[in-house]
Amino acid sequence: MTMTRRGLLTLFGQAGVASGAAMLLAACSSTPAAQPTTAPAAQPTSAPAAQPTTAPAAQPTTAPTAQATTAPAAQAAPTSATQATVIYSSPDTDPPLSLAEASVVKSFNDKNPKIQIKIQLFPGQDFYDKLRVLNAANQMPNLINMETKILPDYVFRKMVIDVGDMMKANGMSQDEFWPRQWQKHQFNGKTMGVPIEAEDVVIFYNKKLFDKAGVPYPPKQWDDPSWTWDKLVETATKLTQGSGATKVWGYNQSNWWVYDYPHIWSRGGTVTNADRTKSTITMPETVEAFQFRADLINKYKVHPTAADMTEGIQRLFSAGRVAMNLTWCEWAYYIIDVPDLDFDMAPAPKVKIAATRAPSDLIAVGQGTKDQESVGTALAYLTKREGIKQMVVNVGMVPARKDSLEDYLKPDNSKAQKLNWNLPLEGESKGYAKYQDVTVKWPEMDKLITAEHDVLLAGKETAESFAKNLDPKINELLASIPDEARGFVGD
Amino acid sequence: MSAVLSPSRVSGGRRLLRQEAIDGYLCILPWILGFVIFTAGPMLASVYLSLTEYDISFAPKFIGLKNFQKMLFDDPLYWKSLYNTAYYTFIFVPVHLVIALLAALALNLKLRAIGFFRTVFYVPSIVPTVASAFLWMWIFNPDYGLANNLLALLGLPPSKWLFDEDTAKFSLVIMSLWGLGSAMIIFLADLQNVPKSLYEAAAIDGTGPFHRFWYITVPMITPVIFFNLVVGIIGSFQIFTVAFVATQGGPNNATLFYVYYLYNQGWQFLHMGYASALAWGLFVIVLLFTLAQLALARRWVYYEGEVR
Repeated sequence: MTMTRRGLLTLFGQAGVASGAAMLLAACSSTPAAQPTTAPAAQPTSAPAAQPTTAPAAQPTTAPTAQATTAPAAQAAPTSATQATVIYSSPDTDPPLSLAEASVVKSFNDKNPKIQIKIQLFPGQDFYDKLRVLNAANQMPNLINMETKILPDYVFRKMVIDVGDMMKANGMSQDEFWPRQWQKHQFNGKTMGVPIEAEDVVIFYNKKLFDKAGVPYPPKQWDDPSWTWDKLVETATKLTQGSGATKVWGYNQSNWWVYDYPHIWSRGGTVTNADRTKSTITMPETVEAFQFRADLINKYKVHPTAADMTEGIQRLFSAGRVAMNLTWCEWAYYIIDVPDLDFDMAPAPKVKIAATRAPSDLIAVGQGTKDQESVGTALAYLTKREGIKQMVVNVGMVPARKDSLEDYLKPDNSKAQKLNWNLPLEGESKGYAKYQDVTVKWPEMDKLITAEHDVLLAGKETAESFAKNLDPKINELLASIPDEARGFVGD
Repeated sequence: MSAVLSPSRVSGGRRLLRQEAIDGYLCILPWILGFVIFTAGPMLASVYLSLTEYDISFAPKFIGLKNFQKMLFDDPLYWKSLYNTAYYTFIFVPVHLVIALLAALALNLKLRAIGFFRTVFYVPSIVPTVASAFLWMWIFNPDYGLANNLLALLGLPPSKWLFDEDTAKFSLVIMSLWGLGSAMIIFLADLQNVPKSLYEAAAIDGTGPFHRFWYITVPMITPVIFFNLVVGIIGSFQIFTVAFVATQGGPNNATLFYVYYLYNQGWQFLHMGYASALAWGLFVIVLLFTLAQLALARRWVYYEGEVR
């Protein structure tokens, strides 16, 4: 039988109708039923996901996309007769954090065959943005390991729920936690997440470089009257030697502006007022602090520029090219196994007072979580002493729980046992750690200041001009916060 | 006897035509549906969103033309991103065309192993942009990169390349020029279509190589030059990946390109309404440039067989 042209066209037309109908069905069908994917437990990248560096972690996408880089999570998995699945989302893609988390999850899964936690990792710096998109798609993970500074924004967007009842049902109470950590996660009488740790910022110093330069080590205690920021500059100047590819820098800190807080607070400055309704960035003390920070690079020349930092601070410190680095205390575990690297921790210096930042992390419960019993059980395990012990002894996180203190002071790693772990603890327990100006507008304020901060550090403007430029913009942001979204104590 | 069709034959013909039209539309129905669902639909949605304040967590709030007002009168970064993009486009596109044409001319020669050289010149254009961005970040490293080594060999002072706001954009231009293969291949194909008889006639008349190039080759390939110019400008205005990977818009917003700024507004600040307005702004700009080029093309683009 021969096929005519009309017959062929008709055949193609029918095929077109069929494929068009199939496309419509595919476009209009709901997302697949709960089949959460298990993302690989560890996706090491060149820089820790939670630590800000000048060279951002290399996890780019080729085009802007709203989709998570891993398959989207199912909404809270329905409880089957045999097993419930709890989706646990975390930004910790690098060892040792990722390995420690995976270990905790595995131990829970082994002990709880009827409830299985599946880790969902979002590598890169867009973790929080991706969760906002998932929220818009009503696909929030059940448990979220997140930074406290993002919590107000998530609470305002109703992305996380009150965990008070879950905690009570699992025998947890406020008294188990350090008061400062507990307060950070309260909002209008509700507990919006369970705190797990504080990351007190200290100075790591390379002992061999100090010995080589004949410079005494920094003190071991906070508030040492001899350890001032001017003394740090003097010390760093002696440590800064050489040139070109072998140059040794005396001091480094992240270019992220939040690491200027120790400078600001130690001078008695602030960025916003106490109730976070007004910018105080133009305070003389604050301006002086920002100028000092920029002068470390441009005037005293003891701090590398962005161009000098292309390899990343971890590599530079490990290679003995940076003598002192101001960063979060858990960074110790990123460099602990570097051969021949002899280092310890020292407090941030002071001007009027010793002060540091100690941002916290928590585990929150995503909105839309249906199986609250299973999720509550998982949450309790991850945040009780047994659950966070792996993180405390292997990662050095300063625990938010009082009963974890004993574990904190006995790290597993023999090299880590020699470090000055009392220092971050005292930063938290003795009030040297202050509250950052975290509000529901923190993500925007952070990006606003970061962009301008780069200009300041490049020496292209003075701190006074920097503060004057930012002041009205910060005020505009703070004024846009609805009254019902105020009330967070900060981070 | 008149050759007039009977009414039944006329209506039968119309029926046939109608049936063929229906068959044709049915054939292209999948494409139409895809276009409506995945292109036209989102475009219409973004028109609406550009008139709203929308951050995906809450319902869009209609604010009229405030996004456009902010874009044009109240956002210095908008103009900065537009300037950066225009700077990149108007340096990259002409240089890219010239170098691609010169490469195509060289690869059009009848030499041994010319196929190998064509491959070598083309391969960089198929390397993923992200991978090539990382490669060039190493090349441009101020401490140990090949670029500064080359400058040292030439007795020139080192540059900070991507880390200096005065050189960052130019560094990205160089990075992008590495992928000249696509335009080069198109030029090469068209060069091979220039009639040999024209060159023979010119040679007989005693014209030199440059005159043959300028008065024969260039006019004959103006359609392809025009195509590459239009496509090049459209593509350059949408530069994103290299800025996202290599510089994140820095230093000091020196490489804050338009689409990267749009991405920041949409996905980092979740100002979806404003990002939609930015997208339409870009659409209008690119459309205007394309229309201008189409209008000017009549003056310098020569299509073979065209009579003027």
